[in-house]
Parts: sequence; C-alpha cells; structure tokens
Amino acid sequence: MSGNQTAGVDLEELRALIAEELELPVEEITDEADLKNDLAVDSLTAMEVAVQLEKKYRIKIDEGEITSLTSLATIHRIVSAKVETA
Amino acid sequence: MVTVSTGELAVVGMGIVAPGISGPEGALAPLGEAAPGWFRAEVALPGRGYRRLPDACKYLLAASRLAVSDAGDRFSKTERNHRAAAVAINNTGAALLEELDYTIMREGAEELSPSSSPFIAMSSFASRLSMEHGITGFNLTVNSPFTAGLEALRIAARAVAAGRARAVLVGAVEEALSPSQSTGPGSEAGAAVLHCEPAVEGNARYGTCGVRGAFLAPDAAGDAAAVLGPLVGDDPPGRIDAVLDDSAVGTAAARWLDRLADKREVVIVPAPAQAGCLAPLQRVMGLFAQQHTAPTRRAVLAASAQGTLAFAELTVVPRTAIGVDGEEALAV
Repeated sequence: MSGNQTAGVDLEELRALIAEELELPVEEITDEADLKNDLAVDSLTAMEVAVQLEKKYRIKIDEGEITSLTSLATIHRIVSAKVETA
Repeated sequence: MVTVSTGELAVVGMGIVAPGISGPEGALAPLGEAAPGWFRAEVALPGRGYRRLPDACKYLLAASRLAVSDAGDRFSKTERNHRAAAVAINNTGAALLEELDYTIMREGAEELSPSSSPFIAMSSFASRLSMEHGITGFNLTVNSPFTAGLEALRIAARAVAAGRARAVLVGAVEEALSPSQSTGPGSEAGAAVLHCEPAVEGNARYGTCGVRGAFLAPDAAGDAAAVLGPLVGDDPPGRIDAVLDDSAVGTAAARWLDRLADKREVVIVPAPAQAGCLAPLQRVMGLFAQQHTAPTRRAVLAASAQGTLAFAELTVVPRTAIGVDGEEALAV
C-alpha cells in the first residue's frame, strides 16, 4: 500500500473531493489545514462534506462525528478506519 | 371598506435578475423565457458558498447585490440591527419542493443536500438574504399570489415608520415551475430588489413610494368602484400599470380603470402565469428607472383572483441617464 493510501482510501482522491466541496483549489487543501480556522468551513459545508464522504465511500458518519472532520489528515484517518471495518 | 395605508419609503438602489432583462431600465419589458443558462451564477455571485443553493436563492442574492451596490455603501453603513428584509414569494420554492420530494421517495431523506433542504421552509430565502448582508433587524417573507411584492413594500414602509429599520431590502423572487406543476408557459423566474430607506428630504435617489391595500370580494366584484375608488384616490397618478388576470376581480378592476383611460395612461399588464409575484415589483422598478425632468407620479396596481388588491403610488424624482459608473449623469 502506498503512503497515500490507507484501506483503499486514496489521499489525493480524498483531497480532490474535499477541494470540490469547499470550492477551493486542491493546493489549498493541505494535509493539516484546519477546515474551520484556515479554510473558513462553516457547519453547513461540513455537513455537505460528510454527506459526500458517505456517498463516495459508502460509510456512515454520525452527526456527532462531523465536528471531528477537522483536517484532511484527520478525515483520511476517520474514513479509512470506517472503510476498513465496513 | 377599509383601505390600509402606511408611510412612505425612499428608493435608493435597485437590482434585477431576470431572463431578457439587463437592468432596472428594462424592467418594464415582459420577462423572457427562462431558457437553460440564462442566469450565470458564477458571474453574478463569484466566491464560495453559493453553488449548492437553490437557483431562486441565487437570483435573490444576485439582485440584492446589484441593489446594494447601486446605492453605494449605504447598506453596510447602516447598523446591523437597523437593517431589514421583506421578501415576496409565491411559486418560489415549488419546483424545489417537488425535487426534494422525489429525492426522499427514490433515495431516502438521508440523500437530501444539507444546503438545499433548509429551503423546505419558504422563509429560508429571506434568511439567506439576511446572512448575506448582515441583517439582524428583521426579515419577513410575504407569501401571496400576485400582490406579495407590493405587500412587502407596504410592510417595509410600516417598519420604517415605526423605527424598526433604517434600511430595508424589499424583494420579490420567483422560480419557474416544473413541467408537472406548470399549466402552461410563462411562469416567472428571477428576482427584483429595491433598497429602501425612510423618505427623508433629498435621499430618494429614484423616488418615494407608499402602498395601500384593500379587498374586493370576488362575489362582489361588480361593485369594484366602492373599493377601487378609495384605493386609487381622487387624484390618480398620470400613469397606472395594472397587473391583472382574467378572474372576476381582475376583470372588474380592468373595467373600472378603463374609466380613467381618457385622463390617465392605464397600462394593463397580463398577470404572470399561476400568480407569480415578481411582475408588480418589476413594474415599480421599471417606473422608477424612467427618466423625467420633473417629479412624476406613477402607480402600480396588483390584484389577485382571491380579492387582494395592492396599490403602490410612486413619485419618481427628476433624473436623467445613469452613467457608466452608476452615478446619475445629471440630477435636476
């Protein structure tokens, strides 16, 4: 498995998805950029991100988990773990 | 019969987004067909956070941007708790609701977009407008056939007179009905927004307006004179644009107005299909955008088949063409 891929979740693919949802260039979605503070993501957009993650990876993200989607790296870890146990 | 009137508003900015209409000066033209691609959201609303909004909300936000920009920075200089919005809708959310219903039936409620699902509540259009412009005074949604736009003006005038607001965005927004909802061509799409303030000496860039309302019971439409006479008043403006359908109320109003036609210019505007509320406010805007060399009185009448009447009386200030930078080339 490459460094960009955990449990079938490609980091670059995930970066592209988040960039699309946040309407930002891919380059701005760095691994550690904070969605709320660095990328000005509000709660509604965070929910949109969660819905798109659920659709693409066929996982379930509970409402309470949405606040945990703080950066690309974190999202990658959370999604990968869910995909692994799905 | 009771005719309800409120205070006057000054109109200081105007913006319109509608198919076939490039600006307030063209607002007296009939709406064009809402062909795919007529509205370019990426041009009208550059930036993030708009893509997933319902189209009607985008029209409203785009028209409001134009109106606020047209008035300079007056809106942003008004304290937030004195900024307000009154938004007229009628069919605005109908096609969206149908789409959301289909999503729920076919894929389940969990598939609804978090960005569009709040618009199940029709007040969400005005709420989003408030978020856009930092409005914390109040926002109101007026939902009625044909007359809602003029009623929104009346509500704004009342709020301004009561001191509740010093700047009000008064808008009307509609979205084309879906093929299954539409009974024929011609349902409205687009938005018109007037930036209004208290009518104080010298601040009425386009003019001032006041709105009166009345009720003509459909089964008593034959007695239109008893209602329309007091509503229009003893000294009607030189031109009256009347948005009327072919209902008993609309027909009675047209007949009554015909009596004025030898002394006043009466323009009968066919009512939009399925009672859209954009046309009357669009007429107000178009009349305010006309150029005159002296203060000129104009009016717009709207009537619903259910009997609701709204009459907006305008005093258009003398002005000539708007320059390319948005400033009047000459104000008399």
